[in-house]
Amino acid sequence: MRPRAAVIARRYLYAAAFSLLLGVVYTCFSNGVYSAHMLLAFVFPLMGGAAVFGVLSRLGERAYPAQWAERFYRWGIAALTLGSHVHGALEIYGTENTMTAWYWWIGGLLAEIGVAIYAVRMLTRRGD
Amino acid sequence: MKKYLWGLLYSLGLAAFTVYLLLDTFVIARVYVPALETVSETKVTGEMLDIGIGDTPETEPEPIPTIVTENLYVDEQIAIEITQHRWDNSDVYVADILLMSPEYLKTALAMGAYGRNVTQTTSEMAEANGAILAVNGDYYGSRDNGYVLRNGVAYRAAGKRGRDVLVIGEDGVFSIGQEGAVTVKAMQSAGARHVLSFGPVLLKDGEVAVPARGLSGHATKRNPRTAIGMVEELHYVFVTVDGRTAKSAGLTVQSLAKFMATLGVQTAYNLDGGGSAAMVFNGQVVNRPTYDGKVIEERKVSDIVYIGY
Repeated sequence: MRPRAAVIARRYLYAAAFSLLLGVVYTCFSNGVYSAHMLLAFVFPLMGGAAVFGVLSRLGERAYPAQWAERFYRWGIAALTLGSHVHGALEIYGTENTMTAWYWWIGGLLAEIGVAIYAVRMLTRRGD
Repeated sequence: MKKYLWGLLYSLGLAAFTVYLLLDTFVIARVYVPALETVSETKVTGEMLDIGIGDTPETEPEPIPTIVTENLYVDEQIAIEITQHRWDNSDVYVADILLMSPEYLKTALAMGAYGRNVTQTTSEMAEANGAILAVNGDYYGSRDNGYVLRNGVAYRAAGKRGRDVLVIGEDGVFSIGQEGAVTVKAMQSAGARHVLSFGPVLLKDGEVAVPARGLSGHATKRNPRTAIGMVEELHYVFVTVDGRTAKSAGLTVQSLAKFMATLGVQTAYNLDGGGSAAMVFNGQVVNRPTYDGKVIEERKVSDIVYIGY
């Protein structure tokens, strides 16, 4: 059976590919206007998702994060990816909304909480 | 099922927030109150308008009959001529304006109200305000910051540090200010009647002033454009450029600046372009406004700059 982390990493790879495709297609129909937020949104699922869970899959099941650590982290990556696309779409349209900052704040916070829970758990486990 | 409950709730929350954000950006109309108090109007004096018709300073000037044609408007106070040009593979429309008094250079807000998603087409606003000539303004409502000062009333004091703004004084003179460096209140106190925040600056002292770096993708690509400029006191030009069509590609701001320079403009400023670019003269849309190059129609925007009584 595949390690769970490897399955998640593969899913993030698909998500990154979809995100990249969305960014490129959207840019193709944006009258020559591009947005780095739209084009580079795929970096979040690629580096934050596929790469991170890819590394975890190499470390074995014991390194796999606890349920809530994983949840918070993945929710964070989702908010950051979606926020990047939304911000990019508004940028290309030529408008803005200060509420897009919430994606960065919430996404960043959730991902950090996930990492913090994971770090605490790993540290306390080592102390056992 | 319980395993996925939190994830489902989070996804719904994220989706709901995104829908609300998009509605807030594009649909929900909000009317705000002005940020600052109105500065009392000061009396302005006009100068004789040289329109080449019966200019006889020694004797009592003869009344000028109002002339209105498809591309010309002349009365005793206002003279406007519309011309079409071909520049850099694009159709460019120029309104050459001579005024007797700066009070005829005006701005108006959609529905007469300041707010987000409070919009009308340029021609609707032109009609509502009795404009002889109008172009779209800076579409302040599409952004959360950028000084908004119109007809002496300061509506928004929040700016983006370093962004150049066009300041139109009570004497009708154009100058360039910078958000962050000078507050909108200070501009108001110094006699600014209108402040438009979009940019970039196209011409300063007759020289191309478009910055080489830091421009948005919109500015560096060919697009429909709207710009206004001052040739000399009480002599202005309003310019719109068609774009995104096979017949007219549109201009970069650099190319637009070069074109404005050929008109003898001293100070020129780029306003909102793209699908917003529209010029209305005597109730008729002069250019071919389009967002996608296929459908020719005006976009609803927040504001206009216009000539009228």
